[in-house]
Amino acid sequence: MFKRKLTYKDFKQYFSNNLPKKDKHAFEKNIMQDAFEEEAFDGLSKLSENELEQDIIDLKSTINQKTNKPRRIIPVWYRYAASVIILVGVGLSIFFLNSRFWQNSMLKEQVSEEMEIMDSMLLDAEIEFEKVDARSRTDTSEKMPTELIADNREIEPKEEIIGAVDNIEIEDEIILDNSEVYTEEVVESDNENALNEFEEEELSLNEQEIIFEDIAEGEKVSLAMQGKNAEVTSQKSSQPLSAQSKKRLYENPEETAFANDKPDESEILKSEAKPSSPIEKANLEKYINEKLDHSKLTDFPGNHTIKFSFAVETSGELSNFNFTQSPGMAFNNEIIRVITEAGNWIPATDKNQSINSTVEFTLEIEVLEQ
Amino acid sequence: MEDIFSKNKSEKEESELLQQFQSTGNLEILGELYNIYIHLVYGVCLKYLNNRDESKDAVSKIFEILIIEIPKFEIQNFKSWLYVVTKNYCLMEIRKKKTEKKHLQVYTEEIFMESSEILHPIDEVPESNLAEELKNCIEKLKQEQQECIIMFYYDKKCYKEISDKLKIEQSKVKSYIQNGKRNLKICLELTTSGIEN
Repeated sequence: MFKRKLTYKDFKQYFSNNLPKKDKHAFEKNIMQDAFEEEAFDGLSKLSENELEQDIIDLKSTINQKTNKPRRIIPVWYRYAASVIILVGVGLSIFFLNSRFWQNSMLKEQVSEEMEIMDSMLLDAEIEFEKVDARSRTDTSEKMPTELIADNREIEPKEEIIGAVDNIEIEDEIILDNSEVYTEEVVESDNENALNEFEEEELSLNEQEIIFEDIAEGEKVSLAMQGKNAEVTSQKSSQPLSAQSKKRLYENPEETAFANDKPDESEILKSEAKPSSPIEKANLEKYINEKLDHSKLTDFPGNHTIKFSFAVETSGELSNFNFTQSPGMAFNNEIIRVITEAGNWIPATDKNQSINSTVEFTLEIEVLEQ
Repeated sequence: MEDIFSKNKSEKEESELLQQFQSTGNLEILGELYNIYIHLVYGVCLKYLNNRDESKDAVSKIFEILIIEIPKFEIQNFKSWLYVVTKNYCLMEIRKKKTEKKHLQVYTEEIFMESSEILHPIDEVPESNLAEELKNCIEKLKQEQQECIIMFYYDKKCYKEISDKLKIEQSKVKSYIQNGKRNLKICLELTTSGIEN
């Protein structure tokens, strides 16, 4: 017996209960021979005729919609290719992000290093500048106290300074300039020669101090000049007491700290303090030696170097005598007497205005034994 | 004869449609082929999933599966292959539902017991004249199975008639008939093997 193929129509008729019993039996016997139909019959038996019909219509409509819509069949390998592309893209993104991260980090390190180098360079430059600035200030010798440098700052009193006057007010700070040099002047003094050859030259200085050194005999005559365009002259004077001041001035631009070749034209507005006439600053030492009462100095035979300074106020009055190097009070008192008896000085000026200033002086006196 | 001709014709038509779809990929051809058996697919889904909406969704998804799977295989009998695809899909859906685990076990047992496309000897006998062996085996069946077998195959009554007469549900009638057929087959096999020996 060959089984007749059952269609949906047969199922529909069976469930409509319109089939004769014989046809029903035939249908039922038929579906037993096909497992697919038999199981489908079991499931479809749960529905009524109307439900079955409606559901089948809906299903066929759904299938028709699927078949009518243009469906793009994607080959299987497309999926694998898409997966590979996505993975490669993600990997490249991570790679570039990391490389940029490292580039940024390296760049930051490089920038920080350069910044450190720049900072160190700036720091060095500042140090150098400070050194130059400090070097540009007056520095006569190791023994010269910094308090004696003429400036407008208040000078704090120190006990070790003899005759120091406190609180010297200086209006302006006068800075000696290295641009000026003073001509070399060498004066040799000889006990046997009465005549001393020396040259007076006007030294225009921008620094506060000028150091003159006697190279040959090791004697130094230092004269700290206040203000710019200070005149330094050396003069040897003969003394009846055979107290001679030996002085050798020479100018060595290399050794002096404030060598200048030319007077600075910009310093015309400034002038240094100087004694009133008839005493000239160049002859100050000679004048002092002449006026000293050597009888009061007999207790100190020999050669002596006296370093002292005094302030010249705007009024020209002298004050604040400080002796940084002196054999004794006798010398101090005599020098003070001589200088003050000479009268007031002409004060230093800056921009044509009188200013307080300090004069530093180094005097060499030879006291012979009697 | 007419049945053979119609069967061959339908099978030829299905074969041609299948070949056309495999060669062209035209979904309309596949849709036409699928609509021939859509009621069977829906019925099987209803049996396993026991839900109309879910069964309708399953029918749509099975169609989409066919679009992908058909080009991969050389299918000789599309109906049988469709049946296997449908049943496997339904079983997979049931596995997803952990709460219906018991339901799955029931259906697996029934499938194991009832799945057979081989004609039962009793189905091959178009006439009411039973062989002596078959008659003896029927007598060995349980009462319910015996009555259903005789009424269905010899009295040519439908499920409804048997149900009305025995006052049992139609589903039980069908079950008794199926179980009876299985037992008859076993009995006949034993009998045949005993004769040969």
